[in-house]
Amino acid sequence: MYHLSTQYNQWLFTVEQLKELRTNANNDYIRKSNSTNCLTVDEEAMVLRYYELQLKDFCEKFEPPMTKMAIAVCMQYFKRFYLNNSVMDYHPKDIYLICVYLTCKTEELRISITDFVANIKNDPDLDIIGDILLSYELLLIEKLKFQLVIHTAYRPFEGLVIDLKTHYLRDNVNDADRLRLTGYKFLDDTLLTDVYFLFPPSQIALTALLFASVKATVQIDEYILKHIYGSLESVQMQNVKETIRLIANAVREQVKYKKGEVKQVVEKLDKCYNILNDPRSEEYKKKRFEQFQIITDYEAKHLP
Amino acid sequence: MDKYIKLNRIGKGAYGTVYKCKHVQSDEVVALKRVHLHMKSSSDEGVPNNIIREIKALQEIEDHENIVKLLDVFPHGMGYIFVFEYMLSDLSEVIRNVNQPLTNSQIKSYMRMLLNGVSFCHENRIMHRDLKPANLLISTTGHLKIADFGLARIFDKAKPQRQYSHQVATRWYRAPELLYGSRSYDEGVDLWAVGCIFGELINRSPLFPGESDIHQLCCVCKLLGTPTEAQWPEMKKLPDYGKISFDDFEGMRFEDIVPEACADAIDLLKRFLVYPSKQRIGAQQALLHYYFYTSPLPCHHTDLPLPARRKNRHVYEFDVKRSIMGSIIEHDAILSMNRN
Repeated sequence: MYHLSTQYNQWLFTVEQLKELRTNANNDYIRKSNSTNCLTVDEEAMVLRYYELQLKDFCEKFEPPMTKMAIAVCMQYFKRFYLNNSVMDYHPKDIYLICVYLTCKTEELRISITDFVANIKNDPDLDIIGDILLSYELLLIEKLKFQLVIHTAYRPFEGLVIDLKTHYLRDNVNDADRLRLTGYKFLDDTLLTDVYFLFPPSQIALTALLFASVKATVQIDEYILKHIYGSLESVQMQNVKETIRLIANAVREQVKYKKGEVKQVVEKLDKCYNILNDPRSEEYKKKRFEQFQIITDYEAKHLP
Repeated sequence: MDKYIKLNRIGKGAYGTVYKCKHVQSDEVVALKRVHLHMKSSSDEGVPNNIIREIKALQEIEDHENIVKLLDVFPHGMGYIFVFEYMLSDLSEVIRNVNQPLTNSQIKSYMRMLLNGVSFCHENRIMHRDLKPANLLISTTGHLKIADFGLARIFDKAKPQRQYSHQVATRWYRAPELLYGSRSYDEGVDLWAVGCIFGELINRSPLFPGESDIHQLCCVCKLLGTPTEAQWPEMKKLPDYGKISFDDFEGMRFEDIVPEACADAIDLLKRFLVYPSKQRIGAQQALLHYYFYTSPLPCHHTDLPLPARRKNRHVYEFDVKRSIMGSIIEHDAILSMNRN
C-alpha cells in the first residue's frame, strides 16, 4: 500500500531537499514582494511552529472529537502546503483552519461549515470566517497536488501492538496497553517534526514501540529480535536501526523557541504578508472578480 | 484549459459535464470532466464529498488496465477539471445493442476484466459502491474499465464497525443489506453488484429491476427466495429489518433465472448472489473459478464488440426545420428532472 502511494512517490525527501524547498519558497516570495521587511527562512520556521501548535490545540479541542489519525493527517496537510509556499504569501492563520476543514471531509467526519465555525473562538471576523475559509479550499487541494491520502504511523503501530499481544505478551495484556499509551504519546510528538517527509510510517511506528518499551519498562527484546529483526538481513537490520535512531533524535531534538521572540516574528508577518491573497482585502476581491470575468467570458465562448 | 480543444459534449452527471476534447500538443483524445462548484446546493459547504473521494481514490490508484486512468487534474475557475482517457462507450450500451448479442466467451472476457479491476480496488482497500454497467466503460481497444469513483470509500479492515451511508449504489445493483438500511457494510456490496452485472450480461436484461427500494427487495426475494434466519443470521440486526415483511417466496432455480447460462456460470453466479455479505466469493478468488478455465475460454479483447461511436445525445440547436416546441424545450433540464 504505502509503496504504491503518492506519499512514498512524491512526498518523501532528504533533509537537504526539505531545506532547499523551504528556502526556495521563501526566496520566491521575497523576489515578487515589494516589502522591504520580509521574514527569513528561520523566521518562517518559527511562525510555522507557532501555528502548528495552534492547529494541534484546535484539533484536540474540536467538537465532535477528531481521531489521532485525523489530527496527524491535518498536520501533514499543513506541512505539505508550506513546503512549497511561504507563510508570507498565504497567511497561516487561515490555512491551518482550512486544513482542518478539509481533513473533516477526507477523514469522513461529517460536519457542516456552520458547526465547524462554531469551534473557532476569538476570531475578529467570526461572521464571515466560513466564507473566507471556503475560498481557500480549492487552493489548498491544488497545492496538495490533489493528493489527499496520508499514511500515518498510528495504524502500523496498532498492528505492532496487536502482533505483540498475540505472540509475546499473551499473559500480560496490561503491559501491552501501557505500551500503547506511551507509544501514542511518542507518535503525537512526531507530528511537529518532519519525520513523515523523511521516513516510512511503519518505521516511525516501530520507533514508537521501542521508545515505549524503554519508557514504560516493558521487556520486549525477544519479540523484537525474533519477529522484527529475525526476518532481516544484517545490512537491512543496520539500516533499520539507523533509521530508528534518526527518528528518535528528530523527536528529541525539536527546536524550542522563546515565546517573546515568536510573538515578535508573528507581528512582523502581519506587516509583510501578501494582502492580495487575503480574502478580507479589497485587493483580493478585485482580483477574484477579474479572474471570474475572464473565465465566464472564456466559457461563454468555448463551452456551450 | 487552453491545452485542450473541445470536440463535443459527451454527457452530464450530477456534478459536472463531460466533454470530449483533444490535447493540442499530443493530439490525444481525452474526456474532460468539469466539476462545477458554484451550484446552490454545494457552494455553502465547499467541494462536495463525492469529489473529494474521487480525487482521493483516483490519485492513489496506479495504472491498472481495468480502471479508467486519471491523466491530470487542474483547477478551473470555481471548480476542477479531471482529465480522463477517452472511452468509446459503456457496458450498458453493449448489453442494449441487440444486433450483437454477446457470446459466452465474450461474457467471460468482460467478467474477467471486471473482476480484475474490482480485485485491484479491494486489495487497495477501496470499495467502489456504485458498480453498474453504465460505470463500466469500454475503450477503443475493447477493454473494460471501471469508472466513476464518486462514491468510492477507503475502507478499514481493522474497524469494520465504521458507519457508512446506506443510500449508495444504483438501486438495481444494491445489495440486500443496503436495502435493509445497513450502515456497516463491507466490500461485499461491490461483489453483489458484480453478480447482478453478470446476470445481466447473460440475460441481456437486469436481474432485479426494482421500481422502488421496497420493490427492489421484493424482486430479490422472488428470485432468490425470502431469506430465512438460518440463511442470514445478521439480517435481524439491520436497521430496517422488521419494517418490511415479505411473503415467503421459495425462490426460483438458478437454471430458470438465467436459462441460457452454462453450469459453470450458474455456479459462479450463485456465489455472488448470497445474502450474507461475508459468504460472497471475493473478486480474487472468483478469478480462479473454473468458469474462466473451461471452454469456451474468455476471448481476446480484439474479439469484443466495438460499439458504434457514442451517439451525441445532447444536441439541441435552434434550427428552422425543427418544430418550435422541440427547439425551445431544454432537453437537458427535463432529463435531469426525470432523473431526480
